[in-house]
Amino acid sequence: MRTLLAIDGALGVFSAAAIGLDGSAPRAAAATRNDALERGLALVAEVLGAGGFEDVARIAVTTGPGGFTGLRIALSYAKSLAFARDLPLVGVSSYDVVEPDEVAPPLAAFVSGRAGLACVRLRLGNDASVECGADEQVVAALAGRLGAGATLACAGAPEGVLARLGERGIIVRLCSPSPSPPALALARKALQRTPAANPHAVRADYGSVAYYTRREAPRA
Amino acid sequence: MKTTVRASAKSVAELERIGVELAAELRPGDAVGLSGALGAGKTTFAQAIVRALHGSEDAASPTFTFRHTYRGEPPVEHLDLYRIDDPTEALELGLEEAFRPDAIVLVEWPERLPGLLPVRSFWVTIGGSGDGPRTIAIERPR
Repeated sequence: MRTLLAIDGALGVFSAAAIGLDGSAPRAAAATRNDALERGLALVAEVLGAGGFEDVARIAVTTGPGGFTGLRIALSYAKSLAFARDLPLVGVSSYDVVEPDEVAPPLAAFVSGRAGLACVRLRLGNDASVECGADEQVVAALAGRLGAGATLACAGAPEGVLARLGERGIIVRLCSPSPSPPALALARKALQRTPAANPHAVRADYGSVAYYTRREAPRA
Repeated sequence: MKTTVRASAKSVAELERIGVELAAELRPGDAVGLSGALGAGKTTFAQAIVRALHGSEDAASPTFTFRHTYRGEPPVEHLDLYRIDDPTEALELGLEEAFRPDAIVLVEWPERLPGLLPVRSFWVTIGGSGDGPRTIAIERPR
């Protein structure tokens, strides 16, 4: 049976999943510590089972934002495997992976970015916008766009952020968590996507760097 | 509340001594920005801090390597942003990862990317160059 192999390193410790292209027989495995470099491919072998790559027809990878090193390791593995096996590669953004299907806007998908960065994609009407920064900055941006009294469906939001949103008068509706481990959520989403033209076209999203230049250094 | 203290140094030894005094205040998780013209003594100052914390230091300026980690307790990360032209370069190099709760981070040319350092950091500005005296201004976060 033709299978999709999904690899994630952005949304937590490294995980891998395999699923039939028709959505059947999902299976997944996750690391127990930060050892993607040492054991990531062993996890891939585990989910593929005895057949190995024989039935793999497609590969999927989370493109970020997320943990800096994990994201790069997973992306490296996925691109290399797709390139070496001449397989189509589907890149899925972290926001898409955590967002539930069929929840109407306003909807915010939260991802924990590199170095403690909070990243959120807000769907409002037909638009989508992204904000990255400290918790308070991200909450202020959301509140600014929504206005007090607005209802917001939230996927993947950390506790502290939910509390801050509440303080600003935003009525939060929690979405059910996406499947675990992340590679399994990725696999299901990837089945609905078209692969990139080639593996080299799949790029990482590290979230914003705008704040690096934002603050003036104090002058003595 | 921030305080800025100014001192002057007429020799390398005096500059280093000021670095040693600052080292005594540093705790894991602290970051220190080191500003000054080429040749002002930023690297000398940084190395004095590392020697004070570790008893010895093993490397020179990280201008070409961008980042050097001094192993020890606590670890000291020494960054040099002189050759960073674009914020995405710092991203690609993973320089953010240097700022860990267990490490002390010294950053030369922090003004290239001031937002890279935590808000509550020490800011050191060394004035002067060549054989002349130096002025050292230190802004403390606490």
